[in-house]
Amino acid sequence: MNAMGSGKWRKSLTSGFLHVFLLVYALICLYPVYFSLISSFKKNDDIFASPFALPTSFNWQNYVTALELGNIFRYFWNTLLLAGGTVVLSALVGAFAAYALARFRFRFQGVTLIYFVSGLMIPIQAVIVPLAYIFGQVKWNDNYLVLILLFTAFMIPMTVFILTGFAKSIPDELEEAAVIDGCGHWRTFWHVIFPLMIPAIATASTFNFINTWNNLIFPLIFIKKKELSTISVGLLSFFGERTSDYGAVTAATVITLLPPILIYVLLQEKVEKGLTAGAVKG
Amino acid sequence: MAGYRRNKLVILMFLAPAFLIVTFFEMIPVGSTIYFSFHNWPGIATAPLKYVGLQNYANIFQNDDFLRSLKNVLWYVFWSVIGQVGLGFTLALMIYHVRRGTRFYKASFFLPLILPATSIALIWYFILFPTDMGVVNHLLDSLGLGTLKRAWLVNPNTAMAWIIIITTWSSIGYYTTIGLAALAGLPDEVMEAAEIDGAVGLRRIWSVVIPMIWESIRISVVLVITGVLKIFDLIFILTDGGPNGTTHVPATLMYKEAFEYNNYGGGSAIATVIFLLSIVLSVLSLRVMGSGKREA
Repeated sequence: MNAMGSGKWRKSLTSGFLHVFLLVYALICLYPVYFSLISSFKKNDDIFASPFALPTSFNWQNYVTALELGNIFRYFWNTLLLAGGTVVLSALVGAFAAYALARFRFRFQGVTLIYFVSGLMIPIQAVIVPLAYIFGQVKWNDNYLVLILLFTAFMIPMTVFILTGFAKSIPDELEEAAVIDGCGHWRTFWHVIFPLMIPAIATASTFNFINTWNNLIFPLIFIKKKELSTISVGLLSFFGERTSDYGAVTAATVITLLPPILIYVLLQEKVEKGLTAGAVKG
Repeated sequence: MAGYRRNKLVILMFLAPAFLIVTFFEMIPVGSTIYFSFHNWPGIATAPLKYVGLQNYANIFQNDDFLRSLKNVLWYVFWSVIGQVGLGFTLALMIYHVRRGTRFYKASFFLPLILPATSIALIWYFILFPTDMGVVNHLLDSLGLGTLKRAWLVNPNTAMAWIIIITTWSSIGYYTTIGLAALAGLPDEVMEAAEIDGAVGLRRIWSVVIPMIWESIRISVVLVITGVLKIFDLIFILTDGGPNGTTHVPATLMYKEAFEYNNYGGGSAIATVIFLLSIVLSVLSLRVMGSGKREA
């Protein structure tokens, strides 16, 4: 009885200690976002004079500067367009491929899936030099359609991986019923398979959106016209121009953080699932 | 129905778009990078490629900057494996143990993962600001540790350490999530049986839990290795390889060679080395960590 009691006491002491540790680490994870948020409302001199203090008043001037001088709104819109296009195209061609890979029988089926998924192993660095060469030759720089295709190529591996696994779990009966009703492949796909795949498409799309939104190197190399830049490149050049305008730079930074954070807040589980798909079973 | 599922034309039509996009924008370029690494091209659209054999490889392996970047990246990988997998799984075990607040902890640890590397780099740049003003130096001052203040990112002794810390900070949640998923798959009976056998606390973790989640630890190590070898933006923005090349890794050097010095052949050779290195290190680490479950 006594031993049990002291064991319990020890257990809750351990738990308390672990909670303190976890809480401190959680704060370290959140702090940089918090820091940029409070700094973005401060006057420039206050940011580093008292970095831990809350802003004394809500000063929107930094945001005005970022949007007007930094052109951040333009870059925000550009990136939204690119990421949106990539999400839609990846979902579409990914769902097509997953349908073929999961619901049909053909030779080289396994090899085809491996071909798609092996794209996950390829670092972006391994493709940019020849692409820079080709894009220069055929004048494909500054072309959003090409850039969306390029992003999509890098999103397809994970999209196909997620969607194929999911499409395999769709019961045959649903598809067969549609066929008996006289639906062809095309209509069966749109009326039965695609609607059922929506949850998996949402998971893959969070991954695709966040990765496209966050990408720096593709627009850095393949977009030459400043007005076509994405938000990461725009933020970087704004920082380059106004290095010591800390308030405006942190305001611009906060704006770049908004879409990923918003998606994470709304779709926490899908985001976690999408990003860890392949590493976590189920 | 059997014929319905074997219609070759339909299969082809549904596979074609994804296949073509991946082939043209991913697979052919990877092959071309290897091809480029045997050629010289000055980065001018009209200039032809010139075959130079192994010259680009000979050049980079005689280049001190490249050799140093290799050394840097190996340390980078080593500490990242320790930090991300080691600490990430430790945090997962802690969350698993306390059982309360799981959602909050998981969400907080995961948050840095979804943020753009560019923004993360700028925020940390301000936190480590290379003068007296930065947050870290401020904190040291207020703790009475003013003598420890450094210009963290321009000091050759501390710059790489901070790159490793920030990388670990930004990716740890990934491995905590993988760890938690693995732990959630453990059958309760095993944990209870182990407790009855007297394997409690750290001993239980070491001799029962770790062997049972060994497979996800192996996968995680491979993911860290391939992930770290790709990292470019963080270093590009925080230090651009400086001070004195102490934070250059092949990925940043590759960008410099190709897109700043217009040495596309050399850049391709470095890119090929990165690709090979990530395969070799992955295979090697899988070998070292044994196959499947470790012996309990």
